[in-house]
Amino acid sequence: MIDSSPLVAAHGVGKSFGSVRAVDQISFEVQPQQIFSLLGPNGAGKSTLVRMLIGMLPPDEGTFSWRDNGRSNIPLDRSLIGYLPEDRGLYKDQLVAATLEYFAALRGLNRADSRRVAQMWMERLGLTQYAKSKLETLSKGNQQKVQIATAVLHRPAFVVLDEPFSGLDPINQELMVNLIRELRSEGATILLSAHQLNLIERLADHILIIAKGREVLSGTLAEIFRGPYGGKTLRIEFEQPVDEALLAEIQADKDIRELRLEQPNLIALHFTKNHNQLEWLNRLHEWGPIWTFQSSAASLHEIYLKVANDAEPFPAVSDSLNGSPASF
Amino acid sequence: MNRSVLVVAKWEFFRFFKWRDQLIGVLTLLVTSALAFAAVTFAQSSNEVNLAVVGFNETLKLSEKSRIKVRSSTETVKQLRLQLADQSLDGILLIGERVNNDPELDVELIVRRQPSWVGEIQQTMNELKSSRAMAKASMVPEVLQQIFSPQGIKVTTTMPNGVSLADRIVAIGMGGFMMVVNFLGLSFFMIGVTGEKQQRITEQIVSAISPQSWIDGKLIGLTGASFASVATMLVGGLAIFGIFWLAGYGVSFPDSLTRWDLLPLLAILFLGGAVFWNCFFAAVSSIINDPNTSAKSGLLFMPMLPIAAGFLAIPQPDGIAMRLLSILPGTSSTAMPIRLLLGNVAWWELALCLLLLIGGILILRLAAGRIFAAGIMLYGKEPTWIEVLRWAMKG
Repeated sequence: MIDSSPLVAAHGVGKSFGSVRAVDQISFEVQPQQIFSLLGPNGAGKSTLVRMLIGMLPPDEGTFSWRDNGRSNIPLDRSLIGYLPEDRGLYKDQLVAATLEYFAALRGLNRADSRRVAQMWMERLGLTQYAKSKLETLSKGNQQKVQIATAVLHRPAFVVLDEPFSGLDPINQELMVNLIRELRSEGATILLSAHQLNLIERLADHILIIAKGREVLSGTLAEIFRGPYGGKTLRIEFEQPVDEALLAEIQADKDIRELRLEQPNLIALHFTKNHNQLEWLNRLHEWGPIWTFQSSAASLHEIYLKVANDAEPFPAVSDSLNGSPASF
Repeated sequence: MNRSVLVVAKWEFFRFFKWRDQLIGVLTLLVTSALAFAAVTFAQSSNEVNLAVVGFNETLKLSEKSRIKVRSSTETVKQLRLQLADQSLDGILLIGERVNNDPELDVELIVRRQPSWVGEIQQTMNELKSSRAMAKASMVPEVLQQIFSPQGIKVTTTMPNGVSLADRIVAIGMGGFMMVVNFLGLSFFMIGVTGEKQQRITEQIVSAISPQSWIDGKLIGLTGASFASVATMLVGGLAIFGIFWLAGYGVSFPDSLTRWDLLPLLAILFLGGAVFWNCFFAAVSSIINDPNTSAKSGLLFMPMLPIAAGFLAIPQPDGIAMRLLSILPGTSSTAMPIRLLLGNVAWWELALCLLLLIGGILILRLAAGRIFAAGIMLYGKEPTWIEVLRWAMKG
């Protein structure tokens, strides 16, 4: 019988700093070997939630329950966790190999094993030639590789990666994507927090979006794409500027979740359900000649923007920019 | 003690104590001292002064080690001036008798420019004048010596080892030793805690080991590094001492340095004091974000106050103030060794001092661990003193 209980579960956890409510009644479950993505705007409470999850901060209320080797509700075991924090750095005046060996030793490996895993990770990440180099002499990308190696070299069951792609060029981002997939295929469960939503879309099995410390959206990728924030977008470029009367007419239709005036002659219609887009094209063509049109499914990026805006409306300055959500 | 404490201790020790750098430091010190010593010796031996004495038949009594070589001359002053000009002569000393057998002589020294050895000539001429005056008064030199010699006072000390000037110097040296150890500890913790906080190293380490293990490892490693650095300096100092000893300068060890019975006690006091203050440094450096702007940085110099007080108390090692300082944990590492050398310490004072020191370390270590655990996670904003006190009490 397959044990399907989660590796870790949060039950109504909350945390306040003075009068600031950083995390408010959040619950979730992370299944074994899942890539669980935690998203949210800056200051949403992601880092606080992660710090509570891995035992660096005690929650004010709620609990976390862990499972390991079939045992449930066990206390947090640091050796199970590999953590790449958002605020990160290394001993810049130390050698790459020595740094990796030190972190391996901190994780409980003996001297011989520390050397072996340090060597293995340097080979895996293409750092062997820098083994005797000081970290400060490495490029930012290579420093980032060393940093992630220090987080996972003890083969943790649960890997927490907070902004693993920041500072990486596209090639190294791809390398990181592959590494995350490899870690999962090797048996690790991954909690991933990042702002590169195109990469999250490729990696995540489950997404939890929080804002102002609260959960605002949660589900698998398929559930999210099919949910109220998913749907399709039809962009229509007219040969002439769109008038207010047409915009009001479109806005009145209950199947149109959102209307965006992206250019004076370009509108984007966001449908919440499987709507017949050809009907809308014919209807709009009657209003005026159409120059181009394009139909696409909502990306995670678009969904995220909508969710985040609903939870916390964007600052007024963005209203004056082209392409921002129109308020009708 | 768990294994991660030792891992951290070893890492921190070798981050700050580099054998190669220390060895280079000692060698540089030795080479510099040897070169300076050789230069002075060479300068003294090669810088011979040739002085021609005119108009005086007696022999001038200069010291045996004097570099002034005197010769009586019958040449004219004009001829001697020519020799002075071509630098085959360094000076002409013209000595003339006055009338009535006056002990005062007319003395003129002709040189190219003001010499450094004029004091030696002055002293020689003073002695000459004194002996001439004594001869005129029919006085034997022994009588004059008796007149001017000071009254001797025999000092008898009741302690087994009397307090000599050398002992006082050793006491000051021990205070200096603790000051250097504390300054090194302070700088190591500023780099090792505040610096790491600034470099954002802390979170990843605290995800692997507990903050208390981390601070314990740092305490052991950084205290060890500061002691090892000072020990290296002492080795260098002893080597210089050895150079002077070998050169026959007659230097010798003060007696107090050879009191082997005191050494283990001194070692415990020094080590305990260093650990005590390093706990303090760890706590304070963890709540500082930027030492250049933080108002809390001044607190790091607090451990220097008892050391200064210890120095001031040296004249009265068994006074009330010194007895109190030698028992309190923050100051005992400086004050008690000074009292052990210069004063009279009761057994209960020593026992109380050690008890309070160990107790103080245990309490401060726990409080420092709690402050450290909270402080290293706090970026941007420094905590208030009330918050720090709350962390220390409750964690």
